[in-house]
Amino acid sequence: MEELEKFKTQIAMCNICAWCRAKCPVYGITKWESEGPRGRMILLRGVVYGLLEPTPDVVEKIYECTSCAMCNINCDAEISPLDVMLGARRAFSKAGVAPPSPNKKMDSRIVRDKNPYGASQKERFQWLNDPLPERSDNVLFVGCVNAFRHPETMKRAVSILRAAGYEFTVLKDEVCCGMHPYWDGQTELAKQLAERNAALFDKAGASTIVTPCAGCYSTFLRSYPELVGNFGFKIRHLSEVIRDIAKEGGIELRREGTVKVTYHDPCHLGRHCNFYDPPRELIKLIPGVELAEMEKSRAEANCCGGGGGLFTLKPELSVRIAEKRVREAEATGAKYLVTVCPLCRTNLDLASKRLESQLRVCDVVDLVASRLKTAGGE
Amino acid sequence: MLGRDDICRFLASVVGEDDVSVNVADLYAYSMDASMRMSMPVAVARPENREEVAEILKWADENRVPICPRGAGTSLSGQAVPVKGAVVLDMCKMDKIKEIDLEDRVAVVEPGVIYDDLNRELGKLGYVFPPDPGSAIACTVGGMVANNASGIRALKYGATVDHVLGLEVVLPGGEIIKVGGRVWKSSSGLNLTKLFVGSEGALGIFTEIILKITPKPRHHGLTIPVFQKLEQALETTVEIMRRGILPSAMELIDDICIMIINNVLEEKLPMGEALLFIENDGYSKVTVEEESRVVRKICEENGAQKIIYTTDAGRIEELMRLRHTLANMLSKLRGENIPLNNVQDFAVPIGSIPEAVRELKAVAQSHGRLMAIFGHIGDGNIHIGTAINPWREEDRKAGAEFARKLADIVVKKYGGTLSAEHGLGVTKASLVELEHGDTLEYMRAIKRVFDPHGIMNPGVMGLLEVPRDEFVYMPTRVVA
Repeated sequence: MEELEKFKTQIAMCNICAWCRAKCPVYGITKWESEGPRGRMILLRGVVYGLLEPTPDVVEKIYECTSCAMCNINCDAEISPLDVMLGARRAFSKAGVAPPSPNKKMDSRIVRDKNPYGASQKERFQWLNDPLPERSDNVLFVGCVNAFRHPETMKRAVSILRAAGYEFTVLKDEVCCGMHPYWDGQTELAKQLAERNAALFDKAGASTIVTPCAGCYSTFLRSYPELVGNFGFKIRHLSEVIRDIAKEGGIELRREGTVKVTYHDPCHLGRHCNFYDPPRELIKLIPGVELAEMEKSRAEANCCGGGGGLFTLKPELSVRIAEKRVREAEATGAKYLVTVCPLCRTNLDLASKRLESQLRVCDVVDLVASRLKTAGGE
Repeated sequence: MLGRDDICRFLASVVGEDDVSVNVADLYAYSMDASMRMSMPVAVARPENREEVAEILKWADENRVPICPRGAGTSLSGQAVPVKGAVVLDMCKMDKIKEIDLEDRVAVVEPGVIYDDLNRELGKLGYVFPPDPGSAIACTVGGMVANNASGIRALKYGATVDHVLGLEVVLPGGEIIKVGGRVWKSSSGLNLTKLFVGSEGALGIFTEIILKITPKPRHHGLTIPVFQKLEQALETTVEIMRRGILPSAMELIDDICIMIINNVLEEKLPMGEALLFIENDGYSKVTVEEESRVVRKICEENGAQKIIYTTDAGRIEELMRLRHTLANMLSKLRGENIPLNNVQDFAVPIGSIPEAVRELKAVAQSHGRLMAIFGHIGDGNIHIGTAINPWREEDRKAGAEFARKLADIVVKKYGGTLSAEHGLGVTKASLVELEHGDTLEYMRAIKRVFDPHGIMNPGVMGLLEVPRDEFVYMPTRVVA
């Protein structure tokens, strides 16, 4: 297991101290030692020294992780349980013993349909009525979750950008960014998808990629350079672009009473990419909107439970993690739980409905669109 | 003898199927604690209340099934490493803070409550449970009581034992007893509460703990003097106490540790043979500042080349966190080696600190061993960081010889102890006689009173004969 061998020293250096486990969202729900980062380090210690077989039970534990990176910030031995976990997933995938069946099926759908939903590629931009140029400096990479699950939000995003005169295009042949297979340890598949998107970006003449998805953002920023080598595009999150537009007066936002909102930091933007401020700054630019922070925010923000393939492997566990986050959001007294990741949004929304919470979950785009002054006035 | 299926069936009938596991991944994950010793249990169960614990212990006693109670598994001495064939009882589901009573000044908690979680709740009310172990973020109150844990603030506030007023304990056989209570003082009868504190799961399982709570100090001052010579630092600690000042923490960090800390610190600490972290705290800012001023003066008199002083709460938290995490950061020195954990936690009488530290360092040097020294020097607690290669027999042997040599010096020459706060566990079991001699027989007799069939956490503290190779750094290959 060459991929795992690379991490042998890190695994051995783990102090088994459990500091990483203390804030792990999965362990926080299940409380099984094997389902937290320390437990995984113990299992992988066994595997890497040839003492423990990677049986299906062992492999499944390695996939019970949201890739939230909370373990990394709590490790004072300065090792990365997250990198070790990914290395193990890669090693197990290469050895043919991973990913677990639900994740494998999801990856197969991505191979077949270029999206995880089994939908036809033709449906990806069905919501888009406006013609856009073939080529542009700026490409709006919509991502699978937004394209297939939140098309109304994407319509609003396009309206905002157009209202501001922001020049951009989309990739009609856009394929899954590869995040799911990447975190499943299916590096080859992730690479194929990355190469395909990279070629499309080139073809569109883009220099900047704008995405409304935290997962796509971190995949482009953190994973594409590894997958496709020289990936020289500027990566921007849509919330950052709209913030700049609003700041510069490119759109006008109106007051509609006063409302309290709270913001959920997606792990793949926050801890993975150190991206915390633009969505907050955008929210604060909306007249009458008060931003109330949750007890745990920014680098300390708790995970929604949706990442790392956990939603595919164990949807019930994933939503239970989201329920905890919804409770934290409720404690702020906010009416809206705003985020900038469609996967977080989907999971938090499921949790909110299951809890029969009054909290409404939305993307920052929806909030901005609801306060947009149209050309004809308010 | 019961088979795994029988064991599993019984446990599931008590705690429910979802809270029992014989899955190889679970067993492997529960085979180890922070001591890095390993031994595979036969099953893991997670009771939710005292009745379930009682039912399991009654059955275990009747069937001679060993039981290993487990808090967070943060033990550095192997108290949570199960003897082969044991059932691990993970107490994580008994994690409720049942009561915080400000009039009686007590907190009543279940054993699985995380130390930091308790202090977060107490902090909101202006109180604290102060022993402050390094593993505060993860360790459980039950584990702390079982281990008599403490940490950097034990100097002023004492160890866990000084804060436990009462316990509810399930004994092998299933009997539930209550010892102590909510009173802050009692001279009534033998103190069974203190007997149970630090019993390492060898006598019974706590299902409820009554703790004293302490008003949280409002002001802090942190003084960090750097010394060219280790001796200057050590003399300073003795002098501070001699002048009648009782800091809330007085920590020694040697040159190896300074280098490790400087790796992660933006504003580097000056290099010297040693530095001290001296924290003064209290209700009044004036008092804290006055005590800190005297501390600084003593540091200067003892030749401190530089003194950092701050009263900024954020800065103090950042620096004290570094001290807390130091033991974990030492993994950079050991790489793939494993900490020699039976020398990690000595204590000597306070007056002997300078001489003892000098001597231990000299022994390490004569053995050609890289050894870091740090610890709660104010109360005589010396932490030692050194490692061995677990795969090489000669290294394991050399480690054992080195450990015995240091233990000999600490115990025989200085009248010290093998463990100030980590407990004996399984890692120091072979050294117990060295410290306790004939009195070990009395401890064994007490063990037999509570646990006649020897089912409770066999292997810890040398109370029962368990083969020495039972708890190893690496187990033999596990077949699912």
